[in-house]
Amino acid sequence: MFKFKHRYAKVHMARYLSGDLPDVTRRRVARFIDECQYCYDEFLRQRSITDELRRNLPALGRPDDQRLNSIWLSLQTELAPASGPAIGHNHKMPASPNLGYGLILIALATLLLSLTVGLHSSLYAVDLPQRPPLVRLAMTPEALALTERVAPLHTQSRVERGGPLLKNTPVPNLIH
Amino acid sequence: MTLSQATSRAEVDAIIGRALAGDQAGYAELYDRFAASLYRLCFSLLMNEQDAEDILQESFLYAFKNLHRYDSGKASLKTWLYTIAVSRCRNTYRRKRFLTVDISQWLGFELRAPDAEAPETAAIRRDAAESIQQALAELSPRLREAIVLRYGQGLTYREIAEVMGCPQKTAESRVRLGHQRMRRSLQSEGQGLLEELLKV
Repeated sequence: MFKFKHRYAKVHMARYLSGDLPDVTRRRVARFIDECQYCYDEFLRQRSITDELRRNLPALGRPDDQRLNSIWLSLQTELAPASGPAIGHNHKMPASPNLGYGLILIALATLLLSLTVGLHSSLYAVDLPQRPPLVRLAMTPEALALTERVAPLHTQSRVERGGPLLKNTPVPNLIH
Repeated sequence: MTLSQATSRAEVDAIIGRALAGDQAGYAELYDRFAASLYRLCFSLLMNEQDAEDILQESFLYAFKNLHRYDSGKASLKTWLYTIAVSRCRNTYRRKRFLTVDISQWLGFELRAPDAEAPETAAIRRDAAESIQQALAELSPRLREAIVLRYGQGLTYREIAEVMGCPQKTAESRVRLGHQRMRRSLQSEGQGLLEELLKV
Protein backbone atom coordinates (compact mmCIF):
# COMPACT_ATOMS: atom_id res chain seq x y z
CA MET A 1 0.00 0.00 0.00
CA PHE A 2 2.85 2.30 0.89
CA LYS A 3 4.62 1.82 -2.44
CA PHE A 4 1.39 2.02 -4.39
CA LYS A 5 0.63 5.36 -2.78
CA HIS A 6 4.01 6.79 -3.75
CA ARG A 7 3.73 5.52 -7.28
CA TYR A 8 0.18 6.74 -7.66
CA ALA A 9 1.10 10.22 -6.46
CA LYS A 10 4.20 10.36 -8.62
CA VAL A 11 2.38 9.26 -11.78
CA HIS A 12 -0.43 11.77 -11.36
CA MET A 13 1.53 14.67 -9.90
CA ALA A 14 2.23 16.57 -13.14
CA ARG A 15 -1.44 16.53 -14.08
CA TYR A 16 -2.40 17.35 -10.52
CA LEU A 17 -0.23 20.44 -10.68
CA SER A 18 -1.66 21.53 -14.02
CA GLY A 19 -5.21 20.93 -12.79
CA ASP A 20 -5.99 18.32 -15.42
CA LEU A 21 -7.00 15.46 -13.14
CA PRO A 22 -10.59 14.30 -12.77
CA ASP A 23 -12.13 15.04 -9.36
CA VAL A 24 -11.78 11.57 -7.82
CA THR A 25 -8.10 11.22 -8.74
CA ARG A 26 -7.33 14.78 -7.72
CA ARG A 27 -8.84 14.27 -4.27
CA ARG A 28 -6.93 11.03 -3.80
CA VAL A 29 -3.59 12.62 -4.77
CA ALA A 30 -4.33 15.60 -2.50
CA ARG A 31 -4.98 13.22 0.41
CA PHE A 32 -1.67 11.42 -0.21
CA ILE A 33 0.16 14.75 -0.28
CA ASP A 34 -1.47 15.77 3.00
CA GLU A 35 -0.83 12.49 4.79
CA CYS A 36 2.49 11.24 3.42
CA GLN A 37 5.85 12.99 3.77
CA TYR A 38 7.29 11.22 0.73
CA CYS A 39 4.34 12.32 -1.43
CA TYR A 40 4.60 15.85 -0.08
CA ASP A 41 8.31 16.01 -0.99
CA GLU A 42 7.47 14.69 -4.43
CA PHE A 43 4.82 17.39 -4.74
CA LEU A 44 7.36 20.11 -3.84
CA ARG A 45 9.96 18.78 -6.26
CA GLN A 46 7.56 18.49 -9.17
CA ARG A 47 6.00 21.85 -8.43
CA SER A 48 9.35 23.57 -8.56
CA ILE A 49 10.14 21.96 -11.92
CA THR A 50 6.71 22.76 -13.30
CA ASP A 51 7.01 26.37 -12.20
CA GLU A 52 10.43 26.60 -13.75
CA LEU A 53 9.24 25.13 -17.05
CA ARG A 54 6.19 27.36 -17.14
CA ARG A 55 8.28 30.43 -16.44
CA ASN A 56 11.19 29.76 -18.74
CA LEU A 57 9.96 27.69 -21.65
CA PRO A 58 7.61 30.30 -23.13
CA ALA A 59 10.55 32.70 -23.29
CA LEU A 60 12.76 30.21 -25.10
CA GLY A 61 13.53 31.40 -28.62
CA ARG A 62 11.22 34.38 -28.53
CA PRO A 63 11.76 36.10 -31.89
CA ASP A 64 12.15 39.84 -32.39
CA ASP A 65 9.91 41.77 -34.79
CA GLN A 66 12.71 42.29 -37.29
CA ARG A 67 13.21 38.56 -37.71
CA LEU A 68 9.49 37.92 -38.14
CA ASN A 69 9.21 40.76 -40.65
CA SER A 70 12.04 39.41 -42.76
CA ILE A 71 10.42 35.96 -42.78
CA TRP A 72 7.09 37.54 -43.80
CA LEU A 73 8.78 39.37 -46.67
CA SER A 74 10.39 36.24 -48.02
CA LEU A 75 7.11 34.38 -47.54
CA GLN A 76 5.33 36.99 -49.65
CA THR A 77 7.99 36.69 -52.33
CA GLU A 78 7.52 32.93 -52.45
CA LEU A 79 3.76 33.18 -52.52
CA ALA A 80 3.48 35.93 -55.11
CA PRO A 81 4.24 34.05 -58.36
CA ALA A 82 2.19 31.02 -57.45
CA SER A 83 -0.77 32.78 -55.96
CA GLY A 84 -1.61 35.61 -58.32
CA PRO A 85 -4.55 37.61 -57.09
CA ALA A 86 -5.51 35.28 -54.24
CA ILE A 87 -3.37 32.86 -52.29
CA GLY A 88 -4.55 29.30 -51.96
CA HIS A 89 -8.25 29.16 -52.73
CA ASN A 90 -8.22 30.49 -56.26
CA HIS A 91 -4.78 29.17 -56.87
CA LYS A 92 -4.53 27.77 -60.40
CA MET A 93 -2.99 24.35 -60.54
CA PRO A 94 0.05 24.27 -62.81
CA ALA A 95 -0.21 22.06 -65.88
CA SER A 96 0.54 18.48 -65.06
CA PRO A 97 3.91 17.22 -66.36
CA ASN A 98 2.12 14.12 -67.72
CA LEU A 99 -0.03 16.33 -69.90
CA GLY A 100 3.10 17.99 -71.25
CA TYR A 101 4.66 14.63 -72.12
CA GLY A 102 1.41 13.56 -73.77
CA LEU A 103 1.38 16.63 -75.97
CA ILE A 104 4.98 16.04 -77.01
CA LEU A 105 4.18 12.41 -77.87
CA ILE A 106 1.16 13.44 -79.94
CA ALA A 107 3.30 15.97 -81.82
CA LEU A 108 5.98 13.34 -82.49
CA ALA A 109 3.39 10.80 -83.65
CA THR A 110 1.87 13.36 -86.02
CA LEU A 111 5.28 14.19 -87.39
CA LEU A 112 6.13 10.52 -87.97
CA LEU A 113 2.75 9.87 -89.58
CA SER A 114 3.10 12.78 -91.94
CA LEU A 115 6.61 11.67 -92.85
CA THR A 116 5.43 8.12 -93.57
CA VAL A 117 2.48 9.29 -95.69
CA GLY A 118 4.78 11.63 -97.54
CA LEU A 119 7.19 8.76 -98.22
CA HIS A 120 4.37 6.56 -99.57
CA SER A 121 3.05 9.26 -101.87
CA SER A 122 6.56 9.92 -103.14
CA LEU A 123 6.98 6.21 -103.81
CA TYR A 124 3.78 6.14 -105.86
CA ALA A 125 4.95 9.16 -107.72
CA VAL A 126 7.99 7.26 -109.11
CA ASP A 127 7.50 5.98 -112.69
CA LEU A 128 7.60 2.22 -112.59
CA PRO A 129 8.70 0.29 -115.67
CA GLN A 130 5.89 -1.03 -117.93
CA ARG A 131 4.84 -4.64 -117.55
CA PRO A 132 6.06 -6.76 -120.45
CA PRO A 133 3.21 -7.69 -122.87
CA LEU A 134 1.77 -11.16 -122.52
CA VAL A 135 3.31 -13.63 -124.82
CA ARG A 136 0.68 -15.49 -126.72
CA LEU A 137 1.73 -18.99 -127.52
CA ALA A 138 0.52 -20.40 -130.69
CA MET A 139 -1.40 -23.61 -130.09
CA THR A 140 -1.87 -26.32 -132.59
CA PRO A 141 -5.45 -27.57 -133.24
CA GLU A 142 -4.58 -30.92 -131.55
CA ALA A 143 -3.41 -29.20 -128.43
CA LEU A 144 -6.58 -27.09 -128.32
CA ALA A 145 -8.78 -30.16 -128.63
CA LEU A 146 -6.91 -31.92 -125.87
CA THR A 147 -7.27 -28.92 -123.56
CA GLU A 148 -11.02 -28.83 -124.13
CA ARG A 149 -11.33 -32.51 -123.20
CA VAL A 150 -9.07 -32.44 -120.13
CA ALA A 151 -10.35 -29.22 -118.54
CA PRO A 152 -13.83 -30.55 -117.48
CA LEU A 153 -12.23 -33.62 -115.95
CA HIS A 154 -9.96 -31.44 -113.81
CA THR A 155 -12.87 -29.44 -112.47
CA GLN A 156 -14.79 -32.65 -111.48
CA SER A 157 -13.85 -34.33 -108.21
CA ARG A 158 -12.69 -37.88 -108.19
CA VAL A 159 -15.87 -39.05 -106.42
CA GLU A 160 -18.15 -37.34 -108.99
CA ARG A 161 -16.29 -39.05 -111.70
CA GLY A 162 -17.04 -42.38 -109.99
CA GLY A 163 -13.42 -43.31 -109.90
CA PRO A 164 -12.05 -45.50 -107.13
CA LEU A 165 -10.30 -43.79 -104.23
CA LEU A 166 -7.54 -46.33 -104.24
CA LYS A 167 -3.90 -45.88 -104.57
CA ASN A 168 -2.19 -46.98 -107.70
CA THR A 169 -5.36 -46.42 -109.73
CA PRO A 170 -4.28 -46.30 -113.33
CA VAL A 171 -4.55 -42.93 -114.96
CA PRO A 172 -7.31 -43.03 -117.57
CA ASN A 173 -6.00 -42.92 -121.02
CA LEU A 174 -7.40 -39.75 -122.38
CA ILE A 175 -5.39 -39.57 -125.49
CA HIS A 176 -6.70 -41.86 -128.21
CA MET B 1 -14.17 25.10 -24.97
CA THR B 2 -14.37 28.33 -22.97
CA LEU B 3 -16.18 31.44 -24.15
CA SER B 4 -12.93 33.29 -24.88
CA GLN B 5 -11.61 30.33 -26.85
CA ALA B 6 -14.83 30.17 -28.87
CA THR B 7 -14.66 33.90 -29.56
CA SER B 8 -11.04 33.65 -30.60
CA ARG B 9 -11.84 30.73 -32.87
CA ALA B 10 -14.73 32.61 -34.47
CA GLU B 11 -12.41 35.57 -35.06
CA VAL B 12 -9.81 33.34 -36.68
CA ASP B 13 -12.48 31.73 -38.85
CA ALA B 14 -13.58 35.18 -40.00
CA ILE B 15 -10.00 36.10 -40.90
CA ILE B 16 -9.60 32.83 -42.82
CA GLY B 17 -12.81 33.59 -44.69
CA ARG B 18 -11.47 36.99 -45.70
CA ALA B 19 -8.14 35.53 -46.77
CA LEU B 20 -9.84 32.88 -48.88
CA ALA B 21 -11.98 35.56 -50.48
CA GLY B 22 -8.76 37.14 -51.74
CA ASP B 23 -8.04 39.68 -49.02
CA GLN B 24 -4.24 39.78 -48.66
CA ALA B 25 -4.53 41.54 -45.30
CA GLY B 26 -6.17 38.39 -43.97
CA TYR B 27 -3.00 36.41 -44.58
CA ALA B 28 -0.90 39.08 -42.90
CA GLU B 29 -3.24 39.03 -39.92
CA LEU B 30 -2.97 35.25 -39.59
CA TYR B 31 0.80 35.51 -39.77
CA ASP B 32 0.91 38.22 -37.10
CA ARG B 33 -1.29 36.16 -34.84
CA PHE B 34 0.61 32.88 -34.98
CA ALA B 35 4.15 33.51 -36.26
CA ALA B 36 5.78 34.28 -32.92
CA SER B 37 4.45 31.23 -31.10
CA LEU B 38 5.17 29.00 -34.07
CA TYR B 39 8.73 30.28 -34.22
CA ARG B 40 9.19 29.62 -30.50
CA LEU B 41 7.89 26.09 -30.97
CA CYS B 42 10.29 25.43 -33.85
CA PHE B 43 13.23 26.92 -32.01
CA SER B 44 12.49 24.92 -28.84
CA LEU B 45 12.37 21.71 -30.83
CA LEU B 46 15.37 22.34 -33.09
CA MET B 47 17.52 24.64 -30.93
CA ASN B 48 18.73 26.37 -34.05
CA GLU B 49 17.65 29.80 -35.24
CA GLN B 50 18.21 29.21 -38.95
CA ASP B 51 16.32 25.91 -38.93
CA ALA B 52 13.50 27.49 -36.95
CA GLU B 53 13.22 30.32 -39.50
CA ASP B 54 13.16 27.87 -42.40
CA ILE B 55 10.50 25.70 -40.80
CA LEU B 56 8.39 28.71 -39.93
CA GLN B 57 8.49 29.93 -43.51
CA GLU B 58 7.80 26.47 -44.96
CA SER B 59 4.91 25.88 -42.57
CA PHE B 60 3.19 29.17 -43.41
CA LEU B 61 3.80 28.65 -47.10
CA TYR B 62 2.14 25.24 -46.95
CA ALA B 63 -0.67 26.47 -44.71
CA PHE B 64 -1.52 29.46 -46.91
CA LYS B 65 -1.49 27.40 -50.09
CA ASN B 66 -3.73 24.80 -48.48
CA LEU B 67 -5.90 27.10 -46.42
CA HIS B 68 -9.01 26.01 -48.33
CA ARG B 69 -8.40 22.48 -47.00
CA TYR B 70 -8.42 23.56 -43.37
CA ASP B 71 -11.53 22.36 -41.56
CA SER B 72 -12.30 24.45 -38.48
CA GLY B 73 -14.68 21.74 -37.29
CA LYS B 74 -11.83 19.29 -36.81
CA ALA B 75 -9.18 21.39 -35.10
CA SER B 76 -8.27 24.96 -34.31
CA LEU B 77 -6.00 26.77 -36.76
CA LYS B 78 -3.33 26.93 -34.07
CA THR B 79 -3.36 23.14 -33.68
CA TRP B 80 -3.33 22.71 -37.46
CA LEU B 81 -0.35 25.04 -37.85
CA TYR B 82 1.47 23.33 -34.98
CA THR B 83 0.87 19.94 -36.60
CA ILE B 84 2.40 21.20 -39.86
CA ALA B 85 5.39 22.72 -38.05
CA VAL B 86 6.03 19.69 -35.82
CA SER B 87 5.93 17.39 -38.83
CA ARG B 88 8.54 19.53 -40.58
CA CYS B 89 10.67 19.71 -37.44
CA ARG B 90 10.59 15.90 -37.30
CA ASN B 91 11.84 15.76 -40.88
CA THR B 92 14.63 18.14 -39.95
CA TYR B 93 15.87 16.17 -36.98
CA ARG B 94 15.53 12.95 -38.91
CA ARG B 95 17.80 14.49 -41.51
CA LYS B 96 20.26 15.66 -38.95
CA ARG B 97 19.94 12.45 -36.95
CA PHE B 98 21.10 14.08 -33.78
CA LEU B 99 20.55 17.46 -32.30
CA THR B 100 23.42 19.83 -32.62
CA VAL B 101 23.36 22.53 -30.02
CA ASP B 102 25.20 25.68 -30.84
CA ILE B 103 26.96 26.91 -27.74
CA SER B 104 27.23 30.39 -29.18
CA GLN B 105 23.46 30.52 -29.37
CA TRP B 106 23.26 29.64 -25.73
CA LEU B 107 25.59 32.42 -24.86
CA GLY B 108 23.70 34.86 -27.04
CA PHE B 109 20.35 33.72 -25.74
CA GLU B 110 18.73 35.91 -23.16
CA LEU B 111 15.38 35.86 -21.51
CA ARG B 112 13.53 39.12 -21.71
CA ALA B 113 14.18 40.69 -18.36
CA PRO B 114 12.63 43.80 -16.91
CA ASP B 115 14.78 46.90 -17.31
CA ALA B 116 15.15 47.34 -13.60
CA GLU B 117 16.40 43.79 -13.07
CA ALA B 118 19.58 43.51 -11.08
CA PRO B 119 22.61 42.00 -12.85
CA GLU B 120 22.63 39.07 -10.42
CA THR B 121 19.01 38.26 -11.14
CA ALA B 122 19.61 38.55 -14.88
CA ALA B 123 22.57 36.18 -14.57
CA ILE B 124 20.44 33.67 -12.66
CA ARG B 125 17.76 33.87 -15.30
CA ARG B 126 20.31 33.32 -18.02
CA ASP B 127 21.72 30.32 -16.19
CA ALA B 128 18.25 28.93 -15.72
CA ALA B 129 17.47 29.32 -19.39
CA GLU B 130 20.69 27.59 -20.35
CA SER B 131 20.00 24.74 -17.96
CA ILE B 132 16.51 24.29 -19.32
CA GLN B 133 17.75 24.35 -22.87
CA GLN B 134 20.39 21.76 -22.07
CA ALA B 135 17.88 19.56 -20.28
CA LEU B 136 15.53 19.84 -23.25
CA ALA B 137 18.31 18.89 -25.65
CA GLU B 138 18.92 15.72 -23.66
CA LEU B 139 15.32 14.57 -24.09
CA SER B 140 14.28 12.33 -26.94
CA PRO B 141 12.46 14.22 -29.72
CA ARG B 142 9.02 12.90 -28.75
CA LEU B 143 9.41 13.80 -25.08
CA ARG B 144 10.80 17.20 -26.02
CA GLU B 145 7.78 17.85 -28.23
CA ALA B 146 5.43 16.89 -25.43
CA ILE B 147 7.17 19.12 -22.87
CA VAL B 148 7.45 22.09 -25.22
CA LEU B 149 3.83 21.86 -26.29
CA ARG B 150 2.64 21.49 -22.70
CA TYR B 151 4.75 24.03 -20.86
CA GLY B 152 6.11 26.20 -23.64
CA GLN B 153 2.89 26.59 -25.60
CA GLY B 154 0.33 25.81 -22.92
CA LEU B 155 -1.60 23.27 -25.00
CA THR B 156 -4.05 20.89 -23.38
CA TYR B 157 -3.35 17.16 -23.46
CA ARG B 158 -6.01 16.76 -26.10
CA GLU B 159 -4.36 19.39 -28.31
CA ILE B 160 -0.94 17.82 -27.72
CA ALA B 161 -2.35 14.48 -28.84
CA GLU B 162 -3.74 16.10 -32.00
CA VAL B 163 -0.47 17.82 -32.82
CA MET B 164 1.70 14.79 -32.09
CA GLY B 165 -0.69 12.40 -33.79
CA CYS B 166 -1.03 10.04 -30.84
CA PRO B 167 -3.74 9.06 -28.33
CA GLN B 168 -4.34 11.45 -25.45
CA LYS B 169 -3.08 8.90 -22.89
CA THR B 170 0.20 8.64 -24.80
CA ALA B 171 0.51 12.42 -24.80
CA GLU B 172 -0.07 12.44 -21.03
CA SER B 173 2.53 9.79 -20.37
CA ARG B 174 5.04 11.55 -22.64
CA VAL B 175 4.59 14.77 -20.71
CA ARG B 176 4.99 12.87 -17.43
CA LEU B 177 8.11 11.05 -18.63
CA GLY B 178 9.57 14.25 -20.06
CA HIS B 179 8.84 15.99 -16.79
CA GLN B 180 10.68 13.27 -14.84
CA ARG B 181 13.69 13.37 -17.14
CA MET B 182 13.83 17.15 -17.00
CA ARG B 183 13.73 16.99 -13.25
CA ARG B 184 16.59 14.51 -13.17
CA SER B 185 18.68 16.63 -15.56
CA LEU B 186 17.98 19.84 -13.73
CA GLN B 187 18.62 18.29 -10.34
CA SER B 188 21.96 17.02 -11.53
CA GLU B 189 22.77 20.61 -12.47
CA GLY B 190 22.45 21.44 -8.81
CA GLN B 191 19.66 21.86 -6.37
CA GLY B 192 21.13 25.21 -5.35
CA LEU B 193 20.28 26.77 -8.70
CA LEU B 194 16.70 25.61 -8.40
CA GLU B 195 16.37 27.08 -4.97
CA GLU B 196 17.81 30.35 -6.17
CA LEU B 197 15.35 30.35 -9.03
CA LEU B 198 12.45 29.83 -6.71
CA LYS B 199 13.54 32.82 -4.70
CA VAL B 200 13.62 35.11 -7.76
